Amino acid sequence: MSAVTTSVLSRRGFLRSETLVPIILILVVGILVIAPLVKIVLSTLTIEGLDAWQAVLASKMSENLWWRPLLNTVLLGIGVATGCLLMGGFLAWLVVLTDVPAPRTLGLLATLPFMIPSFAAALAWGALFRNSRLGGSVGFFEANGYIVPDWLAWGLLPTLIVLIAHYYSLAFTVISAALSSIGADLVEAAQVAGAKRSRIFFGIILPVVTPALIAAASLTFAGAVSNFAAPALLGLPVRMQTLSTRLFGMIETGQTERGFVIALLLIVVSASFLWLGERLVAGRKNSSPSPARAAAPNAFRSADGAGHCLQSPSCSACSPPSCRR
Amino acid sequence: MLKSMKWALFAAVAILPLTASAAELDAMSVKELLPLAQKEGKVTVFSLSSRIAKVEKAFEEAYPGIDLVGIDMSSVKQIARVVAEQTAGVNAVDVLYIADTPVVYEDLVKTNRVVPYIPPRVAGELADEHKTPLLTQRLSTKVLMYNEVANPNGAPVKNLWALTTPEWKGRVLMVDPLQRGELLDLLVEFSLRPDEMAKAYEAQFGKPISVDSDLQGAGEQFVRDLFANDLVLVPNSDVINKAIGDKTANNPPVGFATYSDRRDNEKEGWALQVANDVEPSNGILFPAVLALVDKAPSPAAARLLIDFMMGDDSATGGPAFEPFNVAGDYAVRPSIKDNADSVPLKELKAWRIDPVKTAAARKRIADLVLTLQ
Repeated sequence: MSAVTTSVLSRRGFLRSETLVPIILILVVGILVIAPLVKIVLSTLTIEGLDAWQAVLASKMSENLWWRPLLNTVLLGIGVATGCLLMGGFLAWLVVLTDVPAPRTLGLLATLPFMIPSFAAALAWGALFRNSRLGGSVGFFEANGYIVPDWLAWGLLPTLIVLIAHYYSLAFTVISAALSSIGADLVEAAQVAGAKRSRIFFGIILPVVTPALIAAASLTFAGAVSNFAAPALLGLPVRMQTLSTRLFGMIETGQTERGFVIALLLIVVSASFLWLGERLVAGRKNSSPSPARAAAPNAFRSADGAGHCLQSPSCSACSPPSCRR
Repeated sequence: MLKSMKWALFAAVAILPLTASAAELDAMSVKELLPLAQKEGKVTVFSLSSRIAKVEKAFEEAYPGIDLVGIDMSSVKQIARVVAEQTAGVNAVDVLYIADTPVVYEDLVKTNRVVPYIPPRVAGELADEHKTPLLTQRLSTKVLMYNEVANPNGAPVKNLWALTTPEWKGRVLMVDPLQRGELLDLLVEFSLRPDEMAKAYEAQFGKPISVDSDLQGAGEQFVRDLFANDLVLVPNSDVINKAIGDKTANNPPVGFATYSDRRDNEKEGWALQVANDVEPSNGILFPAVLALVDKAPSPAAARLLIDFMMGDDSATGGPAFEPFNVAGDYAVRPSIKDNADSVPLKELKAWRIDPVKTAAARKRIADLVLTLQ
């Protein structure tokens, strides 16, 4: 869309929008993404850097430096993405497609947790479930005579729950935007036409929100794998490490090259999951209807038909002009 | 003769105030440094302690006209910052007040990014070990601490090896040694004292130690056994102090922490106390040093500040040293008396680290800890 605005500026030579916009884009991406990345990659190709690659991937430390943090990170990512889809999706359905009272207020309240830093949520978990492993003052439950086991007070499970409670708002926002593009009237129309509930769900609602579901899953996955505060606060006492806490520890103790290597690998892991999500959307290209089409008044019959243009996960939320042919 | 030379020097200095060489500045007294420092007008120090704010106030009162900019920064960040700035040709900081000496010697002293400065005023009274390779201002600790309210009869641990027994499983705390250098230095010290650790093992268990084949010595075995006994790692010293020190706890853990944090017992409701009667030792003493940064923008003021931070000749060290004169920290100047509330330095069983030896062994132990976590 920036192409439209800048094309007004000049139509001649170097400043033509076709040349200018890509140059600006390349500059921005170059400075913000490529330059730092290249610098990091280069510094892992020195002698110390190559040692660090070996230490991380092929030494007796690999298990603790890479494999176990990787497992924890991926478990957290997948767990948080799944949890957020279920919770955010359910809330979105409730707010957009049912006659629940005060949907706007509910919608606003559902986005609030995202505005509270995740470390606050982790501290709140401690206020309730903290056990005597760290001595000092215990949480609510142990103070009232219940014994809280370590797996409930520290480690993967609490981190997972805290991160779902933090990131589900993101899934809610994305999914509810997609759902509102269907509108309750479309569903009612299908009901009037005699469609079964299962057919309405699988034939109308699911195809329309799938791109949004994948977008939400990608975003919450990326959020979970890069989150530092929650695993740092809840994981350390039972020595649970994720890639991001490992990265912090390496940089903090001056083992910069190892930190860089872990950072690069973390990028690769996240990128491949995001790419997978993108592929899933692209793979649906020929089998699902466009939300814009589906929402158009004359499109009831094409609820499971052809015709559509889902290029990116955000398509259903922003309806780019190309979709409105 | 001497006097006239001094005057000549003073005159020369007054005429060419900013051309004094480093060697000349090193030899100058406070009186001679002051006018030069006042001309520079400003001195910047990175400090490992937030108590630098108190020093700032005292310094500006003592030497009006010189602005002290004190920036509170962890040792690791100071090192990274100095290396990055000097590589980029930026000379913005004059003085480092820094611990983590093994890394400092490796990354800053060997590469001449910082140089020692021993103020002539105190040079005569300091032991050599406090003057090389950098000037030690005080000694701090990472030692075994316990809760004195829950243990009215003294420390519950008499031998470090007891910490590897079932009785202390999951009840020994430490700040993550892969996040804090001082704790890594503590583990390194265990590894550098294999004979003493082996002797203590025999005292605890009544039989000689057998060391795993992939380890070097009893110290490394102790580190492995400690981790195997569910050592609890925590993110920072605040958490550990609360955990060990909480007055209301009935069965509190023990842990390796900072002796001088005992000064906050009253304010925070803690009962932290040092376990000193421990075989073979209760931890380490490590130096906090003052270093002059290479190409410091204010070389005279920098020297004046280092001189100031060594304290005056009174028993407390005066307003410059008082912020650091707390129970559990130890001044290196013999004229400054140890705090009455603390174990005297001579009786403290902690091992004094040798930063050069520690630096050499640090990587191996860090890698060992990585496999144990």
